[in-house]
Amino acid sequence: MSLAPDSRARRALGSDHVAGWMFVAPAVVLIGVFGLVPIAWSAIMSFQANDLVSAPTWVGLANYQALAKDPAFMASVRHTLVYAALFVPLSVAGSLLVAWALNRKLRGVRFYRLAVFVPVVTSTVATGIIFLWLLDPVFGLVNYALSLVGLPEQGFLQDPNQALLCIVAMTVWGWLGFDVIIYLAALQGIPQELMEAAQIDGAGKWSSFLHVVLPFLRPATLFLVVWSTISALQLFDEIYVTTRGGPLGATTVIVFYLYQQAFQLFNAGYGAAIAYVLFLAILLITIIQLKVGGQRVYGKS
Amino acid sequence: MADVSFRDVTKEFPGATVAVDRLTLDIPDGEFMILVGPSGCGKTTALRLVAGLETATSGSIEIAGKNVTHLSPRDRDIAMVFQNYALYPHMTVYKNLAFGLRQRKTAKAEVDRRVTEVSAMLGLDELLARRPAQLSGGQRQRVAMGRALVREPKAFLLDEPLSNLDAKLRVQMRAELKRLHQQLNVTTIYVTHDQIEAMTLGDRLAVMSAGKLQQVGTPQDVYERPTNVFVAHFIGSPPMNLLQATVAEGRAQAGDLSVELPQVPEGPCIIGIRPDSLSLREPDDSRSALDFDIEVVEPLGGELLAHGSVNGHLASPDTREETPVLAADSESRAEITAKLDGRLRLKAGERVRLAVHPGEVYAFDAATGDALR
Repeated sequence: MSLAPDSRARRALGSDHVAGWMFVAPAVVLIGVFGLVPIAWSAIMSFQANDLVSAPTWVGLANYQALAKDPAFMASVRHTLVYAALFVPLSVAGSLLVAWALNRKLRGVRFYRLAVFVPVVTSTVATGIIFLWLLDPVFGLVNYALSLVGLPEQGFLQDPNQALLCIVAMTVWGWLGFDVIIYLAALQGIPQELMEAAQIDGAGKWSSFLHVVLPFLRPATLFLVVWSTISALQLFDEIYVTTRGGPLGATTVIVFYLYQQAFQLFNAGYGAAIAYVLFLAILLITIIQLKVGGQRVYGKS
Repeated sequence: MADVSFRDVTKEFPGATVAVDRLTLDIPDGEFMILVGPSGCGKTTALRLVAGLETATSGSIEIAGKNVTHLSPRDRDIAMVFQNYALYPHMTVYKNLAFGLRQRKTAKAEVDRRVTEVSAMLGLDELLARRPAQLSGGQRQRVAMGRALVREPKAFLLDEPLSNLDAKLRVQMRAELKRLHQQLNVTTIYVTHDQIEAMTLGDRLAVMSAGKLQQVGTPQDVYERPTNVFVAHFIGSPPMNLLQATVAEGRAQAGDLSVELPQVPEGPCIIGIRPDSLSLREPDDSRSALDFDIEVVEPLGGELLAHGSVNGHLASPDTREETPVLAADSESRAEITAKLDGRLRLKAGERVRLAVHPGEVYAFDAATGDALR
């Protein structure tokens, strides 16, 4: 009597290997269908003239060549860079300041920490609408407050010179809590003895901050700079909810221009090319940031 | 270099914990003073008060005759070595050593000269470009020492600096610390709970318990003439055996041990016998003797530790505990330890007769714990 084939099959089915794949299958399927397939598909689309309805035709590098000569695309790149150049330093430095203030024993500190984090978990649509109301040139609370102190009324989101700045303010406010949590955790990881050693070595408050705290926070700072840069370059939701790229295209950032091209003008191939250019740009910038910042991140003693 | 003084210093923490209770202590210039005591006795708080990391609730602290009670650490000109070294992880050894000098705006050439000098003294010259993470425990310890030395401060404060090292390194660094102190002769305050460090390193010891100073003196002094039962029990390893006794007609009786103690007043008292004062009774021994049932034998080579029991009651070194009532008639047993000749072949379960010279028996007041002679 031979049990070999049966037991071998059972062993194969019951092995860790099969069980492992069963456990990860749902995630693998989801990532495949909504992640990997679109990535590959949009790569193909970027070499096509594709309006999402009729049959696509191959155009080679024509989409990419057109991008290089498209003044509207160049304007969107400029808006995105201005936005990122303001958003990244403001949110990183601002969150460090807030985290520093919250990293002490004061009455009700848990409430303040909660208050700082609430905007992060509030939906972008809600915060966008609140800002629309606050910044409304005619009925808004902010202009009312300005009028009380005798300052002229502002156009805010309806003024092409101010709209992008308002988006910066809104997003810094909305995402600050996330950065603050990261910095708070890092600050709490600084050993008390290290600060005391610096005190005894004669370092004042500012000097300890500069020579002990900041270097210690370097890994957290690097992470936040990379992360904020990526999110800044991919800005979309807040624009979609508030200005829709206006006024006069002043807030048309790269991803919003992509959206207009692909889903409003049905130049999906052109949109896919924008997506790939943005992807490569983000990859390059991130590599540079990690190279520059990473050299100076050290392990703890 | 300077003397350091505590004048009636009290430190209370919120929640009414008195960490240091009316401490008065003078540490003359160049002395190696050890603050020793069990954990929670206030020794580290006392050190941090000198450093300026804590502020006294009352009383004052003087360094070089100057009242520094309310000065910040940077204005006290002291250096401290922390238990976990607290090296700056992102700085090289050189920068770690130089940081304190740089903060004090020392000229670059002078910083260089001092760092070179100290790193040569501690054998760190090869390691100056490394970061703390790339160093062994012993090397980090040296850098921490170097960071203190390079400043040439008025006083060194060391908070259990050897407790994170393995046993072999600890012995080595202990000797090195002693050598450094003999060479530099800077006032040093050293906190430890390790009594071997306390005995071997200190010019003098200050024994603390529950925030209060118990005794100050040279190691020999404290060992030979403890002022109270706490100090007697804390200093010495293994600790002194403490037994409840009753004194009548110049003799103390504890179980079947009877010792002549003419100066001790009649009534209950605590007698103390160091494990090394006990030895096997010789045939024509005139010393006081007691029966000892061996339970565990620990051979140490030249000596052996015998743990076992004798007739009688143990006494507690903590006089804050309720004084127990003597039950003279009960057949109670007391666990004691004897340090005997290592060549003896003793076995668990054996009964031997131990003897002690009356001159080596300590007596303490049963209520206050104070030494009675």
